[in-house]
Amino acid sequence: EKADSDKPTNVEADQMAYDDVKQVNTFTGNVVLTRGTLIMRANKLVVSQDAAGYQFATLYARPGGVATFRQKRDAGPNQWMEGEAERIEYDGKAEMVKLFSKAKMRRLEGTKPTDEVEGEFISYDSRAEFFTVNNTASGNKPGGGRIKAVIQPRSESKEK
Amino acid sequence: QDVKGGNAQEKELPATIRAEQMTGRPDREVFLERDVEIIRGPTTINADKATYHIVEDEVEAHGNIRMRRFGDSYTGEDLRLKIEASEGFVLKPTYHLQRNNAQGAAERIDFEGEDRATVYEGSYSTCEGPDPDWYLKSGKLDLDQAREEGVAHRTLVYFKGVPILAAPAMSFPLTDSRKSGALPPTIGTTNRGGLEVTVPYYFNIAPNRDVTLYPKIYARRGLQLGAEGRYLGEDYFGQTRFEYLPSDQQTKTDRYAITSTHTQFLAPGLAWTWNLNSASDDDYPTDFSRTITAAKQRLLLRDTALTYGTALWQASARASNFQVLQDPIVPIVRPYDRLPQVTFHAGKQDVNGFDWDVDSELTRFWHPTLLRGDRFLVNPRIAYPMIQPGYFITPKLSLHSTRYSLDSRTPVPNDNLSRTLPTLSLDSGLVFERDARFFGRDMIQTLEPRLFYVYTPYKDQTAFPNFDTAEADLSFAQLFSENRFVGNDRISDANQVTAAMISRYIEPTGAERMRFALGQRFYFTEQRVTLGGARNESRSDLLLSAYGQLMQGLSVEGNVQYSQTLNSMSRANYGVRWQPAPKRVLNLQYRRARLNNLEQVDVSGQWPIAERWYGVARMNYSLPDSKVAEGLLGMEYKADCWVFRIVGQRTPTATGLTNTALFFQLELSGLTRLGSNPLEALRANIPGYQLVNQP
Amino acid sequence: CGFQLRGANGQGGLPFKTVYIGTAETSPLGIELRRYIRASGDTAVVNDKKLAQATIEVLNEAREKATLTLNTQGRIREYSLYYRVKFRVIDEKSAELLAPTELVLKRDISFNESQVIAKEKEEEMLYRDMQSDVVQQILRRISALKA
Repeated sequence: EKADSDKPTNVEADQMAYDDVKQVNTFTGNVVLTRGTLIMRANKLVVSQDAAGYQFATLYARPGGVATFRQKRDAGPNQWMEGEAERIEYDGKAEMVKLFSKAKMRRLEGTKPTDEVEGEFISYDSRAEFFTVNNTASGNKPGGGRIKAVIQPRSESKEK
Repeated sequence: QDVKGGNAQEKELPATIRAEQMTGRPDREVFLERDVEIIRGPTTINADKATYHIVEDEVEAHGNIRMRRFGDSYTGEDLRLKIEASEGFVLKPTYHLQRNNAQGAAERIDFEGEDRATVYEGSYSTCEGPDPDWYLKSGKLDLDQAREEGVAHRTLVYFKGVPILAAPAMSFPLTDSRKSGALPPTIGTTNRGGLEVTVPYYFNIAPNRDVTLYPKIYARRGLQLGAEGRYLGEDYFGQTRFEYLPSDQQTKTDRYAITSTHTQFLAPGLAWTWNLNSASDDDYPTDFSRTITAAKQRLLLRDTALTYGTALWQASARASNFQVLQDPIVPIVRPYDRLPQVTFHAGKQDVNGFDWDVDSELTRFWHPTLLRGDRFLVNPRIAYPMIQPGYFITPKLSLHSTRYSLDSRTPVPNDNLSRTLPTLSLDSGLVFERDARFFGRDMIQTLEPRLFYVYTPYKDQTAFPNFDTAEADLSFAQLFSENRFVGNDRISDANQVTAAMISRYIEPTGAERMRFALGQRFYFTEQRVTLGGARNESRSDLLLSAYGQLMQGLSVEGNVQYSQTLNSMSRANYGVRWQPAPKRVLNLQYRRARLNNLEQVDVSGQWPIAERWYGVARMNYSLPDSKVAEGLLGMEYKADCWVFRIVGQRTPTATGLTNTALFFQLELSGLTRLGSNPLEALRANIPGYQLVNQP
Repeated sequence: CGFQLRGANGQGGLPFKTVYIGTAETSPLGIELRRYIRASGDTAVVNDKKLAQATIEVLNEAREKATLTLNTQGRIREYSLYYRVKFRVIDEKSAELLAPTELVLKRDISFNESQVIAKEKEEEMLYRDMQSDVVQQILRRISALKA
């Protein structure tokens, strides 16, 4: 949600290590990052900040587990976006989320999932609300397996 | 296969999408690359590249498209489709419809809703495989799966690459249910009419009403229109067939024939029926031996009747006469007209053991040359049947009273003749049973002796007219009836007993597998009432009969009527039918009857003779004339989607005149309605014949 | 030779106490079926289907006539008369005791144009004879059913 970008971010984790030189914060163990409606959970979180103050975060899942994020969408009342992957990269400047390997993204109306996408790599530009899904983490390789998505029919299309 | 028409739930169904690459904006559209598959409800689309507009639920796909929907499958280059509304088009498509296994290719197919599609510049065929034996090319082909009908415009039908039929428009059924459509065309030649071509057309007007048109071109006679209308209403039903050939080139006259039957229920129990047959001239049976009317035979009944019936009594009033199609060489005596004939019958069963009934009839007989006059008869009967599983005894008393009043014009001495004769009869029989084996199977064998005594006093009836009476064939039914004559103008004097023995083999299910019977009548007094010459035999002909199923698929029938006085067979027929499997039947029959100087051997059969080839044959050889009375030879080739028939037929139509015909018929399954085979000759001539293209 | 009178061992009758005939009131086949069952004593014919242990339902009854022999002048000299009856037997709960069974009987009759009206009456006689034959065969099949 647009309003999230000017909300404070706070993080809870078991340990936190701060590297002053590279200005990188590393949290490990049951990491929970919240910022407005955005909630991210992972096993390890590395957050850095550029000169202009934009934050870049990378979440790593426990081996075999997944890192998750959940955020409210502007597109209507009670619309949510959820995602999970083994590694999630969040670019605060471009407001771009990238999910790597076993990536899944779901849109929900309340708790009812409307659309669902699975693939090896999903990138989602929350400002332009544009997403890309590739069949391998390193980009799109022909024959590299297929992405699956389930899209619910639009209720507006029925009233149109 | 998914159920069609599930529109309501289809709206809620999600679209499941797979591809190697996917980009897009949620809620708007998704762009898919390589190995794309979109599944929504009953529709599955595969393509190289596609865009799915979520709001409009529309797919735009490009590159080797495959689509499956309710079992029908399509391929193509480009596709645009609103999935749920099932509206859109596919370019350069091929299609395959699951319901009637039809397939084809086209420039473009437009989908207009779930059941309708229009194929432009396309082909249609029900044959399997890439190059079908026959296909229909059409500028615009509407396929309506709801009405199960296809309508092709500007069509050309190709068979083995050769165009055989062109039509501005043509409708055909998409399933084998009763749909309007062309029937298999028949081309042929006969010695009476020359080249003959007919393409019948069937109109399924309503579930209870249909019309079939038989336009037929005779090279030597002109254009004939035949039609058959059938209808079934709440309280009426009937069928009318007619043929009309205006200005026959050979006879310069209009030729027509009609057969019409109808039943109308006016009120509960009250029905009015008619059975009208007519033909334009005496030569109709010889010139049109393949008529769809009753004008194959030379006596055409015209009959209309009003009948009323309750459980207790029934009454009827009828007017009836015959049109005679005269054959001058062997002239036919014109039968009497019955204008009118009023009957009344009443009867009650088991009135403390007694059955009584009474028949009465008043008939006004009319004839242009012979006698005219009225006959009134009353025939009350009473019986006391005693029936047990093991035996039955039925005494019966009846009275037959008749009064004639003849037209004074006829030279008969006393013009009102009357006769009243009582008849006493006693029918009795025993039924014995035992377990037995027949052709290796356990059965119950019965032994049923039967004695039937009849006494009727003699009355001289030589002066009586004969409007409707003849001596009946000697049969087991006749052996056990009280009057040697059928009809009411002669009551045979009788002091006779009929003895018979019947033995049956009954299967455990109660089905009668085989029956043997012999019977004879013994006269104690001379039979003085006769129609032909006087006869004084002490016993009737001996009747022997055996019929039934020896084994699965093998049934036999034998009847002999042996005259001991002449020490020869008065009548005999033996027959065997072997039907080991569907579409395989052989019939062999020998028939002999001194009455009409008949002695014929009849062989008929249908047998597969080679891969996909069926042979059909019938030969009826008349021994006294030592020539083939009736012959038919045919071959049928059954491919997976068409049947070709060639049938040669020779039928006698009049003295010294026969009709020889040779017919080809091409039945493109799926294009013409199944089942009806204008060559009804096959079904009529070969007992056990089965259509080759039916399961 | 092992023969004994039918019904001597108590069988031979119908395995039901009450029977209903499912034909129209005026149907000759129905009348003869009713008459025969009632005359043989131990089974009662009831007029109310619900009271009957079994119902004999006549599903189809048809008379057909086919040309059997043509002489060389093209005249029909013999006809085959067919009488088809399809029937089944159901119990009071409409469960099928005897599945639909079709009986097809045939009688041949000679023909000559000069006796056409007499032959009409002879045909009627043969059809009635076949009807009595069908009644016997129906009752045979039903008595073969176990109650």
